[in-house]
Amino acid sequence: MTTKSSLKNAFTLISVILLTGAACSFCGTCRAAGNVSTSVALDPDGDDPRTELLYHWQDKRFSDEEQHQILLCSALILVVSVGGAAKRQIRLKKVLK
Amino acid sequence: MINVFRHLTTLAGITMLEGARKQIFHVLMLFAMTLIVIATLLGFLDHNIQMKVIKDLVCVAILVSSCLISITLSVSGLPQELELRTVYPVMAKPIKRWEFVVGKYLGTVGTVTIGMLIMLAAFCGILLAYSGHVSAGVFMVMPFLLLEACIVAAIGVMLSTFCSTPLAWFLTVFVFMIGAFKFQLSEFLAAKDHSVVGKVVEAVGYQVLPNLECFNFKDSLVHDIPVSGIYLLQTGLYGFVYTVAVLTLASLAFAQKEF
Amino acid sequence: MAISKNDGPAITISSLTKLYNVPRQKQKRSAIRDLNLTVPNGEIFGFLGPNGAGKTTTIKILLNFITATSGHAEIFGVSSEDDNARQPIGYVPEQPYFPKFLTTLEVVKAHGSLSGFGFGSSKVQAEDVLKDLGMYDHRHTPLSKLSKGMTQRVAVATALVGDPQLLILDEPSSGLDPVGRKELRDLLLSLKARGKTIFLSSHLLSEMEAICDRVAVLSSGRLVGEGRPADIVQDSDKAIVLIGGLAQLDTLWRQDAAALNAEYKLDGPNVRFTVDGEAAYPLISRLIGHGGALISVTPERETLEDAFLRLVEQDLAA
Repeated sequence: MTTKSSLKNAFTLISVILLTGAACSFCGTCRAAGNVSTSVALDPDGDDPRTELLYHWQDKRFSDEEQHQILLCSALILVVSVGGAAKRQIRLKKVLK
Repeated sequence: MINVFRHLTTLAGITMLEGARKQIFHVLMLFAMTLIVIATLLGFLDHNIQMKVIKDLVCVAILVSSCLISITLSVSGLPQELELRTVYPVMAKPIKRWEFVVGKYLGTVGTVTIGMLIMLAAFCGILLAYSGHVSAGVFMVMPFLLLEACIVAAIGVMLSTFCSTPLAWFLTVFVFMIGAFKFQLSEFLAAKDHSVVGKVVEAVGYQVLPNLECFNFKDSLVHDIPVSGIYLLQTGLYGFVYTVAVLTLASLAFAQKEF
Repeated sequence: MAISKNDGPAITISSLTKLYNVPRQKQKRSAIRDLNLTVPNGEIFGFLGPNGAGKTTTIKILLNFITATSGHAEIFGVSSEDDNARQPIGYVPEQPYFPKFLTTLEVVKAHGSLSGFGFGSSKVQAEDVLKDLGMYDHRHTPLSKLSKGMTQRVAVATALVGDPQLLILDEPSSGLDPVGRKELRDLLLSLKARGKTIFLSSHLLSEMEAICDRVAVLSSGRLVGEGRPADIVQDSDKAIVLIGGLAQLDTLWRQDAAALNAEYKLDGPNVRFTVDGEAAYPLISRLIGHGGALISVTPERETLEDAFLRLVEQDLAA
């Protein structure tokens, strides 16, 4: 496999992860869906014994911190993979000179 | 690409075979099964409460045991290879350093998976014996407990590339404990008055350390609460990306190593 | 990667230097200093040196286990830092270790896979290699149950399973009995006949002298001698004379020996004399006159071991 195709594959993979993470951060679909399902499941009189637990799970939403970590991790993978491959190629070219 | 796949599967295969035959794995599995049995013995209450307690305790037993197995196997894998020089004949082949790290990691995960499948079988047997059926929630909870064990194993592998085995073991257990109680810990620390340095350390730690609590869906199993598929997908993605990032660091560290 | 016998050298080492940091000292320790070496394709090349000379360090740089401080090495024209350079290599380390819970076949098959064979063909290759090395009957034995010699054979099997063009062996005879050593020698000669290149590091100089086409002698990280064994050893103009039945006779023969500057050593009832070639026959005639019996006359020849010790001592003196 040539350097160019290795870099291309790595870049594509990392870009997909990065874009998915970014889309996740800014999309509000799951939050809206969560709100709807929670409100539907709740007993309007508040007698459902699972009310408190449902609210607990409602709070346990995918948090901003986890979204940030996905972005951070993706950036790290991108930098290390691409940078490492480039550094190796430069070093090999230097040695052969 | 096919060579990479072949290298990874071969290394994972021999690591898994080696791991599953090690005495320490058998001892830890015995420990796990003992914990599971003890968990069932503690549920001697009203039937409905008993099932909740059994599910809760068995999930905790499986979590603790699987993480213990993954920590023990992951922190000893690479250092042992270097110490015993079993790495020499393998690295004399045209294998990249990162393939060796990832292959060893996948083998460790394979061994942990074997252990968790045995524990899952025991769990299903207990549920059938006590309630006559196995809820689908069990098959939702277990993969995420496995994912949590995979993250812990990745951290163990990463630390073992530059720490001694005992230090790597201790640090991995430390990270596991912090990750499992991250939210409560951050709330506790937020209530305290810190210096600027303390606040920076806390902020960096909060961003860098994994939130392992989000992989634990035992409450949804115990109380029969549905969890949205989107949330599960996001959690799975988080676990996967975090694991890949940690393995990237591990590969980077191992690439610089001389042996 | 297909390598033919007509390709360039198997190994090229240019100005290779490796320095190690020494704790609490400013000056670094040099393991190899400015090493230049070429190993031609299709030969058995011996790599000699006392302990700590830098042989294993050189081999580790060739295999990219460690990085050189300066200079570079190439395997069939590919830089040793490129992972693909190890494709044509089979390596047998000194005192090989393998995961002890795996069986012989599992390990050799795995190495076949890592060398590029498919999962099915690596099993066939592994079984063939084990048969060649007499380990087929032990293919399902866990490695922890094998003797040292058997483990050494498994190590050779893992190196050969990929059909390598270049074999690098570090002390391969270690742990082998005399029969095993002979079998290994025959194996290496048969591999050479098939066009393989063998780079061999060993302390058994008599064996190296018997099979190596060329040798290099390393001392304190520097090359102190290189060439064919016959070119490295120095000719001597002395002769070795073995006279029987002299030891129990009178001591007058000792005066004759001293007069002709002959050194002697008692060898049971016989006496071994080392004397200049010109003085050999006068000495023989005088000793026969004293009642001794001539057993043999041979020219004194420096062995490879003698040459090795000479070169190392010269280097240390310098």
